[in-house]
Amino acid sequence: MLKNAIAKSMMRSPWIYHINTGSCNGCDIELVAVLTPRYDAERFGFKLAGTPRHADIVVISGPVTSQSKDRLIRTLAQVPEPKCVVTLGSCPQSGNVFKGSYSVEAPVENFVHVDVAIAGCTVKPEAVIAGLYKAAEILEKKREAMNK
Amino acid sequence: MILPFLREASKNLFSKPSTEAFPAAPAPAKPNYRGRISYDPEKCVNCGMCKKVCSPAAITTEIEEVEGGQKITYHFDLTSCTFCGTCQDFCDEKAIVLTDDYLMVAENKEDLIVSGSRIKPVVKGKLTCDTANCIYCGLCARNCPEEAITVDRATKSWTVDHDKCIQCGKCISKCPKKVLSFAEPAPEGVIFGEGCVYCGICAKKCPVSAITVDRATKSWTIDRDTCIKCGQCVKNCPKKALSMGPIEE
Amino acid sequence: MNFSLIGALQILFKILIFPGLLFVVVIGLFLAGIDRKLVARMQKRVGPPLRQPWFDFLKLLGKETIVPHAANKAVYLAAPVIGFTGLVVMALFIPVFGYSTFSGNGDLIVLLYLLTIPAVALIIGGSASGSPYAGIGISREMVTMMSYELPLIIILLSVARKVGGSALCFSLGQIVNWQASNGCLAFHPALIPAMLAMLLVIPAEVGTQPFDVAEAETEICEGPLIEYSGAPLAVFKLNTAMKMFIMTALFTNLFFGGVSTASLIGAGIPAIALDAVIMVLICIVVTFLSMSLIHAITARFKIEHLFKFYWTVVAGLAALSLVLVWFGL
Repeated sequence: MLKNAIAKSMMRSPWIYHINTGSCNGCDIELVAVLTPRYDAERFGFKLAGTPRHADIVVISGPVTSQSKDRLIRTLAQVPEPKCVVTLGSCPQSGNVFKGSYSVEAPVENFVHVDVAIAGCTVKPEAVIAGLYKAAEILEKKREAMNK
Repeated sequence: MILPFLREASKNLFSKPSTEAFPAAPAPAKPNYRGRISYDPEKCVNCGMCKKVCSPAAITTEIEEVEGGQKITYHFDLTSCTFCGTCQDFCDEKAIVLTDDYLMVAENKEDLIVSGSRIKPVVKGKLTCDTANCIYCGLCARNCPEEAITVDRATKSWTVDHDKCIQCGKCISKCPKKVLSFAEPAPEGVIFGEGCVYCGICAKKCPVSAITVDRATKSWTIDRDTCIKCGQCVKNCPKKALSMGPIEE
Repeated sequence: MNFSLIGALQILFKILIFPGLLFVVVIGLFLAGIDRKLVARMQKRVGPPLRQPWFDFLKLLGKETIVPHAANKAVYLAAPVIGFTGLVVMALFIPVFGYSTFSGNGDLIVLLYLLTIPAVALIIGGSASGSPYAGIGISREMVTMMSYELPLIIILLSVARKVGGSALCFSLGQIVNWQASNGCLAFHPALIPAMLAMLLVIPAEVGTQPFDVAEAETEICEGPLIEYSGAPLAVFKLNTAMKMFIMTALFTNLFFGGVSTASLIGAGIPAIALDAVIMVLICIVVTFLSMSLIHAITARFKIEHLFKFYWTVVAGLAALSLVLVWFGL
């Protein structure tokens, strides 16, 4: 019963850790906009955590520059299980207009498993909410899989 | 100094929150929002303009030879798109439209690729211009995505590079005088010209006996179905009255 | 033999259920939920549901616990439990108006010492985690402790002087009883500055918004909690919620004691239950005034400003009360 309750609350209280890997700040602003009174993601329990150790969902924005690739992998390794990775916008998925640059390592899928991809340039706050909600559902499933 | 905030906070406590009920109620995007791409392959003429203007190279095409023509597939990779809308602006056929659907959320990257394909029937014939009616405005050259057409107004010349031409038909739709067409090239054949003395050498030389010459009635006939266009008759005509060329029916 | 068994069971009940562990945990998480909801409403947001702290707590229980290489494992894992134990013990000292588990002569002084245990646990845990951010965090936590301890001591001193006269009464039970016969201390003009000072001490002790310099998540990544994950973090979060209840309950007993219903409906379990409900209601009001409201309208202090604020404004308010009380007002 406790395990079920834990799995349920997994979905109701996902804490977000945001990594900017060279983003133009467009997606970052939209992610913060999700916490403003107009969209208020906190009503679903979303909260921005200050450290990867507290995070459940890691949100990646930016085309993953060569400098940030190693940091990204190290940060993700610090997140306790179960965790979920969400990419914000086109950049982490493909590199967007930076594609082919000598300093860009996108797509992020080459070295990180991505659970949910939110497309857009930039993403709309509603899409961020929908994407994070989906990630929270995946979290619950992952926790349930851990129970077994 | 914190009194205005205090007033604001106590006011908000008893007023309705300004939060939108988004996941419960739909939140339509503002007008002119550029979201998920919708692609109508039936309208597309495969001109490739969208591909050319796309800055993040999000549009890819596949051309596959199938029975009855070419299967043309366009992929719009939304995970690569900047949603600038340039492809929509450049698409004359209005086959690409950026809709206001912003909920582009997927667990699988493949779900974020918009694709469409259609079978384009093979166009028989090459692009031709009825130069008699052409005004050499150059609209065809300007709208050619492959820059296959060159028009010089000064010298009144219209040329097309058939190797470059992808037969998109854009020039035809743009032509104000409707002088362009994919004309069937006239089949080559033996043409009967002036100067014949009805000697009958051609009939004798013809390997398939397609030509019959009657000196008495001064008639020269050719069976087009049996003619193999070998050119023996043209070569052996003592009066050079025969030639190879387009047949006029 | 039989009697002592019942006695032991009674003590266990007191420690584990009421007014100990279970009561404090439930009410603490409830207050934390109310706090988050109120802050959200004051910021014109819908806010999380009241059960949100429960979800957070349960979720953290289900997360993987990572012990960093640089950490001292035993101390690192023991620290949250130390803080938790301290808080449960504290809960036993705080009376529900007339009803108290331990009541002695100097329980206010014991409480004063016990109050530092959660903060010290945070400092121990932070230093055991071996992170430089935690190092900055614990230095800030220590400065915060120093800042609010001085006004708190002056407040307790003025209450003690008011109740006990020159004898200085440091017994919470006696303070509550005195208020039952002489009216709440909140209505004694001399103690109103002390009450205001206490309202400002509570958020610093709990570590909510303008005074959460030690756990500033945006600048030093949650400070001492930076390396914690999973169950230990859950216990730390629980500690914060429990601190919320214990501090507001202490405030209620110091300034709104004696609202006991025992004299109206007679002593017994219903009276204790009713007292508990009234106390929780007062606690909610105190939470709103001291934590939610200040949280909603202010931004975070700098550590030096926090120190200055407590040693001038808050300590000044408390000292004013002390002077007034000393002159017999």
